[in-house]
Amino acid sequence: MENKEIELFDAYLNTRLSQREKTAFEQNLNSDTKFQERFEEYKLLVAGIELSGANSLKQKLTSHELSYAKHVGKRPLYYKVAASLIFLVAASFLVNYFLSQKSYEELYGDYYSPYPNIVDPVDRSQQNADKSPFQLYEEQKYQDAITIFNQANTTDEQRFYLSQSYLALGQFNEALAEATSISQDSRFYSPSQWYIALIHLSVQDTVALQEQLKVIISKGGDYSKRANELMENL
Amino acid sequence: MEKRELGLFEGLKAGREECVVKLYDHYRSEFIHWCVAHYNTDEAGAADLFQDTIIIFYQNIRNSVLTELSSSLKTYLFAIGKNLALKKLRKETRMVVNDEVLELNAASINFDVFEESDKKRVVAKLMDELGEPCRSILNLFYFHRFTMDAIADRLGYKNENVVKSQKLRCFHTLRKLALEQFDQDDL
Repeated sequence: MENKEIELFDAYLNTRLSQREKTAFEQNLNSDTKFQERFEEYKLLVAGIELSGANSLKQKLTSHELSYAKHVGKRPLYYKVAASLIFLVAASFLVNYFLSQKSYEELYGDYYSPYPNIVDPVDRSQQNADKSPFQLYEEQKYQDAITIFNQANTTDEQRFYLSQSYLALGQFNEALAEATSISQDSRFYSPSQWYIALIHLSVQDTVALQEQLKVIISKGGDYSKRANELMENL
Repeated sequence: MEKRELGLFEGLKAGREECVVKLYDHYRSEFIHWCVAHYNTDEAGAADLFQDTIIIFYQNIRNSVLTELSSSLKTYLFAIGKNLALKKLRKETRMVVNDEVLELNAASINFDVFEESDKKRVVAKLMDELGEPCRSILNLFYFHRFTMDAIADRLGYKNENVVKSQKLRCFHTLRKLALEQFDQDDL
């Protein structure tokens, strides 16, 4: 390949030939196979040089791209804002989650309160000796109430308040035994079911507690809302 | 075309490498999001495609395939990127992806630079072994398409004639090495 020919190929490649020269060049390509072969060889070498040039530029851009990965600080502001928000939401969720996770003991404290005496309210003028066990219960004299209830615990209301008295003293087994004996047609049946749930809660019998809450929820009524809430807090 | 794009285009036409990097920085984020969303690739794959897109665009400007833009610079980049992404998809999935007609006259863009053949790879590899100043001279003349005058200026030669003869010597050397290697590799 002559120097002159290389320069001619260069000129053709860089479109520096006049229209007349270009036509002559292309005619030559069509008629002279040797000339065509030399031009093909030239084009191949140029293509190789171009590939090498493209590869070097690619290397430069690849290292430039790395700066995006390295300098996170260079990311647009919205990346940082989004990242901060996600962090805050996650953090507050976790904090709330742990703060809201109460122990069974705390939950029992939240939900338990002695059932009011609706049978035989205290008459302030009454003498102590004449007081009914319901009244003693109301006055938080639970042990005295239990003694009297145990002498005559035949009705559902007596058994219910006996159960309540045991519960108030933390005697859960006795409380549970009395509570489960209340018949379904009693007006104390629904509250007794709720207190049974609270007894399971206090002795941390999770399985029984959940079963009991499900029963209460399924029946609807006043206690189902509370039962639902307790269930969610478990 | 807006002023900023025009400035970039003129810079690329003049072969200013810092404009290649500016172009990269300016459209990178948008291109990568678009590419990840449409062409089943991750961020690294999209960045790789974007680099090839930039190089093809630059090379087409430098070898005068693109002398002026009929549309925005961004439209060209995304048309080239789309073409490359579809090619890649076709290759990876070995599925026939319908040839989508590219918008604009991006069809007239020359995508050959990364089309590899055994012989092209041999020549490219020999370029690395050629050493200086041949490597730089050939690269500046055939890849970046600088004039002899500009090369003389960049590389500190007395005048363009000195570079011209040096370049011819380099071309002959590369040709000789390539033909030997083809022979050896039975290409």
